Amino acid sequence: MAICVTIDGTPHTAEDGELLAVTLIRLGLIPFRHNPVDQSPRAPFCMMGACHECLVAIDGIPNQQACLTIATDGMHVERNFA
Amino acid sequence: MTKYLIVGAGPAGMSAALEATKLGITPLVVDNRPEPGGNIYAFLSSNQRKRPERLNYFGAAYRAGLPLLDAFLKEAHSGKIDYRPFTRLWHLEPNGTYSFTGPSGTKTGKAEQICIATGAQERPMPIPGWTLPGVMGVGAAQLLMKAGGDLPAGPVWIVGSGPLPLLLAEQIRLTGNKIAGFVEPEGATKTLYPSKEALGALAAPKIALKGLYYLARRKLSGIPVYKNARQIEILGDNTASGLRFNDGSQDREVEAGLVLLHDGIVPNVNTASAAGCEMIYDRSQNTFHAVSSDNFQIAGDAAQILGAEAAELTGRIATLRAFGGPIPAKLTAQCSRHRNFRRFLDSQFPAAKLATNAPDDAIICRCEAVTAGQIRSAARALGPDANRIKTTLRAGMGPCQGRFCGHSVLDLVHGELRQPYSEVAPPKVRSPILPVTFGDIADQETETTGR
Repeated sequence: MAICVTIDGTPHTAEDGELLAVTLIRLGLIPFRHNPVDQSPRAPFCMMGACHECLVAIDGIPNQQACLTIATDGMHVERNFA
Repeated sequence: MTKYLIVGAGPAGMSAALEATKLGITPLVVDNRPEPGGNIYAFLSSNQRKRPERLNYFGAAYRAGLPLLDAFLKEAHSGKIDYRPFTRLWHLEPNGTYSFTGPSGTKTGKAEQICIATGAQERPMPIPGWTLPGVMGVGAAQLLMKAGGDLPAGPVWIVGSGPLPLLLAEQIRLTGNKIAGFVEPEGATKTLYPSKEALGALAAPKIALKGLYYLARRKLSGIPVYKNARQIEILGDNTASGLRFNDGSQDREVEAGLVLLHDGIVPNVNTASAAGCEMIYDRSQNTFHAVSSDNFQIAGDAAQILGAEAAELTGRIATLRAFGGPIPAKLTAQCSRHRNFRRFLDSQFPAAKLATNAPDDAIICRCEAVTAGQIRSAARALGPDANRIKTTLRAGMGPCQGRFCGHSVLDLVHGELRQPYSEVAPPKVRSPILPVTFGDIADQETETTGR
């Protein structure tokens, strides 16, 4: 079943029940964020909740791990750009 | 008081929980994932339900988790296991006081017995360019595939050696794709020779044969393999676009869309370390392990890298040890068989520990952008104390809390000061073990659960 996820203000189609990180990678929405220290581009590195490179804002809450979050219909995601 | 808290719902955590139910205990199991299974059985349950064809890519070792998963989910459903997915444990004290945050808010409590089954992660390989998008762990790529994701487009190169890269190459082949090539760092592979360790292969002949099969597959498929590679570097501005290395005779440069790194796996010890568990350096696995105590039982790969089958056994043993049950001799014997086999694997695929040779400008701490050169000069100034280096440079103080750079800092200090690992003080892990908001801390609610 297809659901709608809004990423950086643009609606996108995702698969119900899939990881948010999988959605972003499939859509080519890379990088996920810029490192706040050196502003370098980053994307998921470990996919298991350890590296914290997949941090995005979800429904207004910043720094959520996209690799541990299931995409849900109506979700609002903002990538973390410097 | 919570009777039994289990951290992690991989094979060790699930097995520890099921053993507890047999003793009439309702364990509280917290896990940060959407569903149980850990890394090895990630998304196995939902894949079987919704996309059974995916099970074929990942083979018998993946499917083997089904009986354990089904039993765990059945007991969780009937309330005999208090299972909390999407739940991040961020505080754990030596006396068993804990805090975690999940879908129903932040809970705090105190547990009589705790099983730490936090599993393993990949050893970091801090080569130049490794922070670029388009670079990830071999295990990470496998998790992405298990989660139903597509690998990013372009040639896929594997930098590293060991059972997991061979397995992934085969899994990628089964999905109809191909690895562009392997780059094996100098020191990452040994040629099989008759030794005490090699005899360990006989402890698990089926797995050893499978390894030979994957090696033969790789050879037959004509995938180029560059051994003894040095000066490995990932190229690209905003994303990985290539790979440069010296293959022992000449410099090479190849095009890449995705670079997958692997230098073996190491226990995920942050939780145990924060809880004050003793840490010992295991020379054959080149990493620190956490040690069980009266109220903390370390199970699965968090205690020693032995794989999923052994994790099921050590999970059961953890529960029996926690509640004084007799440990059947058969369980102990099976565990030592796995240890023998692992000794063989560890001897064939030693850690390359590329942090040791990282150029001074290579980033070691991804979160705080601390370089190898900074860590080397801090080591010279501060001595073999990774904790002082951490507080001085902030290496290990970003969102990942040293889960990656902690290992590399030890390798760098060891290399720079020529001190044995046992003489290097590992970085201390403090609460919060995972990032948490002030709101979550303020909203803590005391909860007693489990019987």
